[in-house]
Amino acid sequence: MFRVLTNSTTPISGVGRFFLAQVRNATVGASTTTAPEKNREASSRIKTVSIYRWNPEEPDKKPYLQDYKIDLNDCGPMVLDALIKIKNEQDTTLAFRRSCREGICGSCSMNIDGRNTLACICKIEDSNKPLKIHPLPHMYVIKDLVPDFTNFYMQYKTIEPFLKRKTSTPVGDKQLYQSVEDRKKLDGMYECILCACCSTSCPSYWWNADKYLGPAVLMQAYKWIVDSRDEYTKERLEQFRDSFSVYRCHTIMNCAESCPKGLNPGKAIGELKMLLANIGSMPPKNSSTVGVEYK
Amino acid sequence: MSFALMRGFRPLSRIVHPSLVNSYFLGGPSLKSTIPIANGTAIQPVFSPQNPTANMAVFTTSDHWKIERVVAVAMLAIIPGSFVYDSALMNYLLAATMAIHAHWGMEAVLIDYCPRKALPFANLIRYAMTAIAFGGLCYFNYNDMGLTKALKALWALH
Repeated sequence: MFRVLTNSTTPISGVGRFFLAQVRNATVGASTTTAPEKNREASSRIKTVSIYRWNPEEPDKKPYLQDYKIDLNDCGPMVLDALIKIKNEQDTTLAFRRSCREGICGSCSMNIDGRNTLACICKIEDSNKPLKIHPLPHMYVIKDLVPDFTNFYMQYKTIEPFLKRKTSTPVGDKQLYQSVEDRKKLDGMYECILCACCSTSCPSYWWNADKYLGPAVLMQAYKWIVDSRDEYTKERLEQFRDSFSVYRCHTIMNCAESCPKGLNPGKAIGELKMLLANIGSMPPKNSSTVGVEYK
Repeated sequence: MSFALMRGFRPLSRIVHPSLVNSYFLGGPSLKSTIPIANGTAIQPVFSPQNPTANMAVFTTSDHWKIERVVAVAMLAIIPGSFVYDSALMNYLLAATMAIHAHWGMEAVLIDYCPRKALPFANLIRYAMTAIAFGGLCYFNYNDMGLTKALKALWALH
């Protein structure tokens, strides 16, 4: 596990670095050598980046904010670009997760200027204010900006996030079709990348993370409940009747506020509560359109 | 060692719910089994009983939640209604719904903010406070002018 961590936070690979440099030069214009160098100096926009630092190898040392100064003219537009630049050029000990750099993998979720978001799709604000970067709030920190997702993933595991059928369905033989209308019900939920921005912005999840499942996991639970191909709807619902799994949601709605993908987990939890209380009716599952033969 | 570091040297049981610990990580041993069927196999897992009390015969939190909502919505009618139809019945209805609404509201607050060790004691106080509040409101309704008139009088002061 630890080896994975160090691997994932080593400086960006040679190819990627070359590519970034190319893009940078392309946008600035061939300004790597003589005269334009001066202009760039003159118009340098220095931004202070304060980053939360904590090293597990020095457990007695308290976490602190370390300041780095970067020139925005010599850096990509996003916060992740700044982090990679700092790690490459100033401090190789800085640890953070990143992978896709385009907001689809959910690795670089962190707290930037007090908001949970993905560093790769969060623009660096062009002002004199220092940019403050913390790990996701109320998570156990492994190192610097790398939080421990063990609890989050295990909660995700408890909702059994996979298709479950009662009618015997041969696996790997034919596609399991679903009508267009039934597929549409999953829109706004299947896009979730499990970055945990919503769950870690939820005060209820802060106080009861061990028992309350949190918005991200609950939205996925609801997704499997309304999926017309899934036949364990009732059983899935039954597991949420205790007082902690769902009912610690007080509709604070920080989840919808913080979601970098613009989803609304709060609405999904609301609909889940309605189903549990038999107030709302299940959006009709047209199971006649489900099956290997349906087209 | 690396696991210990990840957990910040805390016992696992303090980070996650004990019932979750048995299969430690995603790759750990699972309760699910693949059931062989006629043509190949299908994964047909069965939910592990996470909360054994969750069956229809027991009064579950979802029933509780539903009653909470019903009372909250009813209060929307009861509060203005008590001013329009000022009667003893409305006074007692107002006293009861206010007391129980505050009681449930405090429950949510305590679960979120009270340390778990102190929760039984805090709940004891909560029940006592609700009993005193309801008793006091009923006493006021019975022996004095009643809640609605009192509120009207309070309003008239300004």
